[in-house]
Amino acid sequence: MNYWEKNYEILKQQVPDLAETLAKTHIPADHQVLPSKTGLPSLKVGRQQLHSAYDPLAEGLAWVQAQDIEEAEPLVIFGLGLGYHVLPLLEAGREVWVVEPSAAVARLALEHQDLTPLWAQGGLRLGRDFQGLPPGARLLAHPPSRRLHPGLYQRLAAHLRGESGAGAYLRILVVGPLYGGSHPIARSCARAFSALGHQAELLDYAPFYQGYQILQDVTADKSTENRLTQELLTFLGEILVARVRDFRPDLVFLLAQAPVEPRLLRRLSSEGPLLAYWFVEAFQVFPYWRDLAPEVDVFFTIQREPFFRELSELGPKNFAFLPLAADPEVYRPLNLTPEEIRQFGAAVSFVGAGYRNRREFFPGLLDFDFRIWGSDWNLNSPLGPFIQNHGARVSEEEAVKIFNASRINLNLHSSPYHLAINPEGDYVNPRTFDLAAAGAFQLVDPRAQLSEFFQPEEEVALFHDLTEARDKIAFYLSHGEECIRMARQGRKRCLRDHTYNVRLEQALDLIADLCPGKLPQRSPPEKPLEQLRRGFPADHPVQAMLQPVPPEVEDLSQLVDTLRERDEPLTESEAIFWLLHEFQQGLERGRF
Amino acid sequence: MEGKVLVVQLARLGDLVQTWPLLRRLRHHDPGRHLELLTDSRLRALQTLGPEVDHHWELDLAGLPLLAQRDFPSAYERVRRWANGLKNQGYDLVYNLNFSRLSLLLAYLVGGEVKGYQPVQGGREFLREPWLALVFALVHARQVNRLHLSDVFRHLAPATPPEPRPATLALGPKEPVIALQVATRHSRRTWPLEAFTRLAGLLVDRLGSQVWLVGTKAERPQGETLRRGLTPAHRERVVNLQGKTDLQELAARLREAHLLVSGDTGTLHLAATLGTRTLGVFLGPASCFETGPYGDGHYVFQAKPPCHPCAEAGAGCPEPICQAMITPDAVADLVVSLYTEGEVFTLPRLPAGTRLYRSFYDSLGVNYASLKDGLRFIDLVGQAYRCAGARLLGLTCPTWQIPFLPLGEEDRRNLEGLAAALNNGGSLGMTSPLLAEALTPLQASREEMHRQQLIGRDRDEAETCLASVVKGFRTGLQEFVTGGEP
Repeated sequence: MNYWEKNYEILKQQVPDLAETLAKTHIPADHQVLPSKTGLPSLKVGRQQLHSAYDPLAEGLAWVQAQDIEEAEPLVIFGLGLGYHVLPLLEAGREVWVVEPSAAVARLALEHQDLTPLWAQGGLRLGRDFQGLPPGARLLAHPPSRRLHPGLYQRLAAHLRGESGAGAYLRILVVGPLYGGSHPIARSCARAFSALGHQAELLDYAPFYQGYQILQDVTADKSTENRLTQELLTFLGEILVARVRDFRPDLVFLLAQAPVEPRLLRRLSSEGPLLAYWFVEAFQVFPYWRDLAPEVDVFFTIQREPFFRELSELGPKNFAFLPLAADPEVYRPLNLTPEEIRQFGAAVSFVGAGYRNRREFFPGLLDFDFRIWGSDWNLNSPLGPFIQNHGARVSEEEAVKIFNASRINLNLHSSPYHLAINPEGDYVNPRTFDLAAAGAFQLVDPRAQLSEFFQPEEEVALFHDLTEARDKIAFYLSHGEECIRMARQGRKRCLRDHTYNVRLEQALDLIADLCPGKLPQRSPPEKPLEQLRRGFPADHPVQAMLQPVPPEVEDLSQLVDTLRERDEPLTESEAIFWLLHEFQQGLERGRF
Repeated sequence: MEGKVLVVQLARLGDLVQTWPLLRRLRHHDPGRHLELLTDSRLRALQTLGPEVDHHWELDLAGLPLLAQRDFPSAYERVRRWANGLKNQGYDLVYNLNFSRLSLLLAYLVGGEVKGYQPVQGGREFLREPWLALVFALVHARQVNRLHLSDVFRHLAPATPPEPRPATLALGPKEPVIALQVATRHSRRTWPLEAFTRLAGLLVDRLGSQVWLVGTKAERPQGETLRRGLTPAHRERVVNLQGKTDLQELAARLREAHLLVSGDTGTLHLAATLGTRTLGVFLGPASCFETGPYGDGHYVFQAKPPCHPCAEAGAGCPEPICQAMITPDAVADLVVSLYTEGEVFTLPRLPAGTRLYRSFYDSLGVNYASLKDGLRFIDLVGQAYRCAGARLLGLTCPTWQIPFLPLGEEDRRNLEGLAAALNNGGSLGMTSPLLAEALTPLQASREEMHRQQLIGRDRDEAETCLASVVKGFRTGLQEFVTGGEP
């Protein structure tokens, strides 16, 4: 029995959820276990060495001896690595809890060490899960793990000090493009930041799209058109600067295709906020990242190597991997009417633009009940009769209906360079997450990253070529219950791991990791009623008035509603209170 | 009578000026009784212009809301001290004139008997006394409302031998001065600036008059636009006083003017109460019967498209046909008549869809008579409700003293239809929208009395009140039906 099986056996009995998570964990390519000089395994994540490449065992022991630990106090160690620094403490019979930021690192530890005493003498927590850690425990940090995740370390320290750990309250300005695929992502990001408790706002450039389009038809003279477009972009940039000056964000979160250029980014930066850019496109196809990445504080990508290498060569060190996600408020299971199912449904549907590889691939599927939705398709081709709405763009509302109404949703990642399936395709497109969140069944082409996010053939079905696609379509069309099961699993996984709420929480941690101390540690604004309670002395009649107010009442309007409902004549405090509320209402509407 | 009286009027300039007849009546009724007034502190300058009271209280409506936003506990403390100050006065009677939560809560905090909008249910709800309930019912069919806001306030106080009325100012034969108030509070009731511009030019040409533009600092750009739209010769006769006068100086200027031309504004009401002649230019939601200049011999040029009077709320009107109905030339004709003859003896040709009204007093207060087309069905219904109001107050039914043109066939038919519907218990069956409009206030009265019973009004009292309104309305109509031409 190897270490993994031994650890897993015990873990499965004691903490089944954690065991399942680790069993499904995929190890990214940049996590490398290499033999040290002594022959024992050492671990490197990206460019960070987690243990000594010479003698990790001696290093772990030396670290333990260097800690000033009281007898018998429970310990919480930040960072498991491969466990060399944890094992001596376990052997000494100490109560030890470990918080490991990365599931992949934890999985590797369980593959290379016997950590079974850990389950008896404490436990392991992953990421932000601090549940059940002993209050007042002594916190120790594994230095390389702390270097990799300073944001999470601070959060854990705050948690152990008894602070809420809710994180700082930030003002975040999300900036999207005028149109295109990253526009809905920007909207979802703003919503998710708000849901995480921050004051988030979307600078929506969509209203300017029409003007941008008109410019394309103003003149036949290309250089004039370029100049006009440039002036429009300059104008849009001024809007962004004005918004930043007014809103004073702590963080400007830019999405790919946002109308910004290096000079504008430098200006924004000089206004004070941290700049993060989420480059949600293929670096090989869109080279403009070269201009932008060096100008922002954090550059998020949906691809790792060789993109990381190229970024490193370019200069910046402040990049991080942040895969796409789904917005479950938009992509959700729907109860469609029979009419909608007729309108949007099919045995096999595809939603997306007519990239070359898709144009090459889909003619092999035309004997199925097949519908193609989206733009940039050639209507005068054999695919023509299958293209819906004359190749009109598909709104999110329509897309979620199509996903729900179709028995099989085909998801073939785009490629301008390949004939069918891109054999080097790494990142996972938004549609993969959207389909999963919608609880729709999808048949998707393989991607290098896919198994990090979804369990192939458990949570999503895969096809590697046309023959397999045809076979699987035929199979799943006659095994509807299997489609439902898999779609349900996919949705469960997506809601757990791949919503924008989850993703942007990770993004904020990454920003804190890459720019330690740059984001302000501001508390969320006090709720109006709390502020009120604090504003009056303890024995003031207003406190008596506030006493019976239920906790869900947060603001003055809601409080006045409770006054309306009470039976006793208004007390003096209640009447004055209501009167002051009327003042405020009057101020808002401009008359009394 | 013993005990102190407090009148609460927290609304704007126009409403405060229209409260002065009530104050005069209270003074006249019981000159020895201590009378105090509570107003918005921004209207302090009006204190010396209005009827004399024993004490002025001010509510800082500009500062307190801001303070409440900035520092709630301090605002609380300030309001508490201030409200206790009022409460400790021990008022016997508080007149609460504003249909607003703010003044309801204030009246509740001050304590004592309340007239007008009375706090009930521990300060949470308001009760209208019967007279206000009728006014409220008439607001549901403003076409037939013939109760002036000043009279609405005035009749909350006990009836007395007629109190003195402000006299019209007599101006010597000096250079004519016509004042123009070009802005109003709401775009729907504002005569277009281009019309005022042309009027100013016409007045300079035809009367050789000086034209004074009056108003606030915020309105000054409009006056400047008006002046820029004039020829240099006209412009030098037009003086822009907007924003250059406080309320005291404004009053002094209005006293010096021969005539003020204005929409339904605080300036118009101030001028009327000072005794300056006025010509109102009323359109949109403005109705002279409700808020025309209060007094005898004021004129109102009223645009009366089928949608009049419209609602004040909401954005600009999508099709403001009333704005073009009243022409600057017709207004200039009237101003010339009023300046040269003191009255309009010969009616100029009035643009289609407009009416020219002149104000007069009757037993209930101020009413307006159309000088062009006499009384129509809708006027008779309004007059009958006026009669219902008088009956509710224990007054004699106001009589119509203006020469009365015979009713047209259609009006007569409508009148008979209405009488039949009333004999049928107010049930309309299949009738015209016009008849439905005529009966709406009765229906609204019923509903209001029902609501009042739910919040504590005695059932017999509610029914007596309703019966009185119905009877008064029928008596009023009867006078026109049987008396034929009164």
